[in-house]
Amino acid sequence: MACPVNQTTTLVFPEPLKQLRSQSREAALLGLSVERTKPTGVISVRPTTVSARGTIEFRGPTRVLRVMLEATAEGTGREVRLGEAPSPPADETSAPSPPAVPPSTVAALPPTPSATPGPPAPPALDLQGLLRATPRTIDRREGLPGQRTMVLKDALFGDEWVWLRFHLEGGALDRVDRVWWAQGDITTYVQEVSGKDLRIVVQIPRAAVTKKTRVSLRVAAGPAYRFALTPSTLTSFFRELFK
Amino acid sequence: MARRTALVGILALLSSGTFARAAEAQDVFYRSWRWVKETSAARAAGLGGAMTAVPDDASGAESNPAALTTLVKSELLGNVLNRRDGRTAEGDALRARTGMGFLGLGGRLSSRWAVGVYVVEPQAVRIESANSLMREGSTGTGRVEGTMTEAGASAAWRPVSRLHVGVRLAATRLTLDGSYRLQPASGSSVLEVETAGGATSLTAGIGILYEASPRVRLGLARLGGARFEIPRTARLNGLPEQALDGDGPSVVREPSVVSAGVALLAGTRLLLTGQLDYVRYGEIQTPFASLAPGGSLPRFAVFAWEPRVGIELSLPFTSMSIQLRAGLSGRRSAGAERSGAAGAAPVPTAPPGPFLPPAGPPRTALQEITAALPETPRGKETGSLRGAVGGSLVTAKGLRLDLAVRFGAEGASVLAGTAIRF
Repeated sequence: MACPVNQTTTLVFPEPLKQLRSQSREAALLGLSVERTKPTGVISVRPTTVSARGTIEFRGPTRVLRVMLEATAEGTGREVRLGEAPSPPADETSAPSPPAVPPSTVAALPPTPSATPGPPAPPALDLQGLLRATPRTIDRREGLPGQRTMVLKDALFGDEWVWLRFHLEGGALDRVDRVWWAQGDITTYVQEVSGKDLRIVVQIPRAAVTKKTRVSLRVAAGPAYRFALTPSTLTSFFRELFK
Repeated sequence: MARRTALVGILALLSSGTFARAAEAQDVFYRSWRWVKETSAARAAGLGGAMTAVPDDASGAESNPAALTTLVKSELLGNVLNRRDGRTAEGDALRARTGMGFLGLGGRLSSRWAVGVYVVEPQAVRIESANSLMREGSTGTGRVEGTMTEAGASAAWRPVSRLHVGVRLAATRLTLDGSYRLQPASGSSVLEVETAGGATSLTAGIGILYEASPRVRLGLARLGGARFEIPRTARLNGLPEQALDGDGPSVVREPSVVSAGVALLAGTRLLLTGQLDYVRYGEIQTPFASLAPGGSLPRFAVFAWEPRVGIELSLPFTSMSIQLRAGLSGRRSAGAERSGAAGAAPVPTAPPGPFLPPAGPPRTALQEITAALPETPRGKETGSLRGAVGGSLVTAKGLRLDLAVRFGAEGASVLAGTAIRF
């Protein structure tokens, strides 16, 4: 998770905080402090240098979460909610998941900078599943001549979800305002500035992913990019052609 | 002895066949044949051919194989090339032709490897000789029709993130068909030259492309020339026993080229590219030197520096993008370096001494022909400048339509084609 330097990033855990583990030197550089422990654990992070990074381990009554924090030079502080209810029992997962409403979540607040009461919370990002996901390099680039290039770097395949990692090269000042595919809009995504680029992580249900799946992203007041989830190589093309 | 010397001279004259610029200058038959390194791919043509450092284009399979690993997507492209009527520097006519320009496919196999194949027609020309260069009111008429087709395969490797290295193997076929008839004003002798046939040669090339920064690319390529043996006969008065070159094949050499280029990506919309080609037209042995005192036969390496520049502006819209481009390519006068001796020598376009048959009646058929040959056919050799403009329409579906027009010295040419990226 990227935490901008000299900005306060607030992490909200899903349970009361029983124990927080981190290395003291890393915690000092990251400006880590516990804001509260009940009813849910809240931690603030305010790095003072871009070299600050470290992993914290949150322990609650039923859950253990590990989060890697990394300071970034650019960006603004935000509030991120991590975790919530545990995954449903195994026998319930055999039924196909509705694409836009994930059954289990560890949610991160996406595009908007802070949570506001009223509208329903966006679908959550399954960070625990993300930890166990297997990466598959894609490196597909899209964009017309004259536009910024967006790169689908890789896909992380978890048991239930697939996370797609995009970079908008030179797009630090841009924001993605819509992500969609054949099944409709995708609301589970996060974006953050990384140097001169904008990084976007999109979560989609694995069961709905096929070879013909295409995911589109639209940059606010800018172009839209449409991605196949396969590498743009000759080998990939011929493999699919002769299957 | 004088007859033997003249025979050596005219034999070398008619069979040197290097087609080097200076060598051409002394060969009335091939005087207007020239190796022109003009790209046959439409986008490359619009950029004036300055493609050595340009990334993400499948035509790199031919111009710089290292560029293949910079391909963002696999690309299939092809175009036709229409060469308009024109006139060479010597005053000979170039006839219009339409042919295949470039057909190619390139793509990455992985993040480190890429391959490409292509077929290109870099030369296709029909030249009709003018009569203005003859001496003594002699008549010389003829034509040369030549087509060169090259099929090649390239592979590129990216050993580290910024460096791309490529190799190219190509089979080049040259077909020539021509005839020439030279008749002096006085006497009844006639020189008849006939060429017909084809030959295939294998060549290799290597290239490097280095990403000096996210916006700057440097390219270097060395593309080898081909060597062909084409049947040719040159007879006096049509008599086989008076064949000047034994009715054997003549050697024709395509020059090798070393190109160094730079491409600058100024923002997302502007591409500036420049390139300098060192074209080694060949090594010739001037026949006239044999007439010099001492009878030495110096060899001359003929070369030229050929600069190219191009600019491309991309204008994106919602679902398509328009690209506009322009380029210039130049050719300076060929130079010549005398091998084995220090310093440069002038282009051997004129004989160092009087090129006249020895005095003494009566003149033989060979002497009559020799006397009718042009004195300095390439005397106005000064180089040339060609301009190019072009454009592309690129759709979000991956289709690109290309158009380019080249103009300037020796007539215009039009290229139209398409590319599909997938």
